[in-house]
Amino acid sequence: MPDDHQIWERIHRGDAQAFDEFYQQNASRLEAFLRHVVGDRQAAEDVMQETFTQIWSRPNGFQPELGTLRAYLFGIGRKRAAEWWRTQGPKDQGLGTSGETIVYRTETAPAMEDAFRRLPEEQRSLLWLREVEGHSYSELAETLEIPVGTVRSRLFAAREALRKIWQSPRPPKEGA
Amino acid sequence: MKCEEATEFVSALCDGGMIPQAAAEHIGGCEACRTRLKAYAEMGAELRRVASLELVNEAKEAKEAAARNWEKVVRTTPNWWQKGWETMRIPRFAFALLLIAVVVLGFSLPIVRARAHTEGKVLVLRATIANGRTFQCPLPVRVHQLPLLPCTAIQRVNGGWVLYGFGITANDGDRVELGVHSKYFPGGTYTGPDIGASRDKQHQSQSDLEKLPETRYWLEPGQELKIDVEGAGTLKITGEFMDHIPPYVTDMGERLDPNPGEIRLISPVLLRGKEVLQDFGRVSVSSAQKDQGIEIYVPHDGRYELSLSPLESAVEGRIAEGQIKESRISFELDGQPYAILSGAPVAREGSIWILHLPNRNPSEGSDGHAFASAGVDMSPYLAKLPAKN
Repeated sequence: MPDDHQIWERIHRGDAQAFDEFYQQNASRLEAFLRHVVGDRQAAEDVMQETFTQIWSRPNGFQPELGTLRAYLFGIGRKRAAEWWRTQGPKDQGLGTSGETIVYRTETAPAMEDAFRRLPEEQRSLLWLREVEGHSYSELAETLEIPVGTVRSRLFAAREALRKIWQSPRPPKEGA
Repeated sequence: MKCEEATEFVSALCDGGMIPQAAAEHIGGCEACRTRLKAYAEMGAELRRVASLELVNEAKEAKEAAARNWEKVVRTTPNWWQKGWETMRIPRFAFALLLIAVVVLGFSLPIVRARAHTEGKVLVLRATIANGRTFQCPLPVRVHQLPLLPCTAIQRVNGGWVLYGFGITANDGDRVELGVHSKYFPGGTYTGPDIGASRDKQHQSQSDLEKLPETRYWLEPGQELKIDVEGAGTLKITGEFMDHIPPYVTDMGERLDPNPGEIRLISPVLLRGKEVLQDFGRVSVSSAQKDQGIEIYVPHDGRYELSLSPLESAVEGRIAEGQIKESRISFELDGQPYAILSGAPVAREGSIWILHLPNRNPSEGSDGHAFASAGVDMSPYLAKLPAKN
């Protein structure tokens, strides 16, 4: 399996097949991450497209010695998501933007989703990348542009914030 | 070591890291820290489970991604983004979230949930069958192969029921190709697919809908399509392009005044005192069937059932008789003033009954989000009126 350096070399040379493979391997996971960062499915789709467009159009930002290609990709996505958040943000808290975001079918998932959405953007990014994507501390540091030594304390703060929201009293199930 | 010093290491343990001996010893004997550790582990597992659900849904979309032709993207520095954007095909699933769930039961149960704004063209369809009530539905033109037929309706006609649904299958400039599914079900009891299925049943429902006979037609705005539906009559379809999804698109928009017995809520806002409990944004609902009403759901606050017929508190909950004045409903619960503001007159009647069911989930799946739906069966809550002599 080609390593990051080889993949990047091919993308850098304009190898569309390499980029297509890279896209297929990462697009859905990046979109899922972005959806939780921006809280809007359509915006996440747009940000994901912009992220890949940027990588394809300007394949000169990745430095293998500084981190993994995955961290680089999610880092760009996260920056673009943060930009979207700053400039557009969720203007409508009704069904118009947030209601259709994600489909859940169990009793506990909405509570987790609801709790997760209430976290600040950086904490959502941090927890998602760590718990779902399994990023290492160094990858998190690169993606979020924070020192590696800070990652542990930020992760702790994010987990604690999520725990407090998640375990706060919520309505019992119907019929309970 | 104290708990405050050890908690950060609890988090580090979840990441598979080694921690100082003192912290490890403390966590081993501290119930609070072990509880926290368990909670962190559960949260991580829950997040991954949630992500797994999403990623399964994304798998199909990833297949579409494979069809992208990145070679078309031209690398030019000055206008890289523009050229890239112009040559990149926007995946159709990006607009799937614009799914419009429209349900018409009988002649008088329109539910419209207008979702996110769209940047592209929207085709607002109008369909009439057997001179019945007009069914309207917006279809984003760039949406193809939606997971469900985005516009579906069931209407009572000729002693039976007719089901029809539309999807856009192609777009050719100023006209669109419609895939029209339709079928007539004779008899008093509707036996067709459940178009208002809850989310966990939608897969089956989709499959059932897709099995219905489909015919494709090109539709140009201004033209009228006539489709014969065996047993039901002629289905007449017209459409017009708009640059956005209108806030509501049922025929309630054609006349400001509600029909007798009808409740309408257009982009409602629920207030308690001066506090906005829920702004429902672009949601519009209307219900006119006897024994049916409107249900709105506010996360963490529960359900509000609205009926023009008196309700009784035989069930858990709080009842209020509210006053309707034009586009405003006022009522009081536990000494607190409530109001529901609507974008148009709510009803012709002056009174409305509100049953608040705190701690109740919505009767239809809403994924835990604010929700409004029409045609909700109020019979369990209706007051038993004394029999007439």
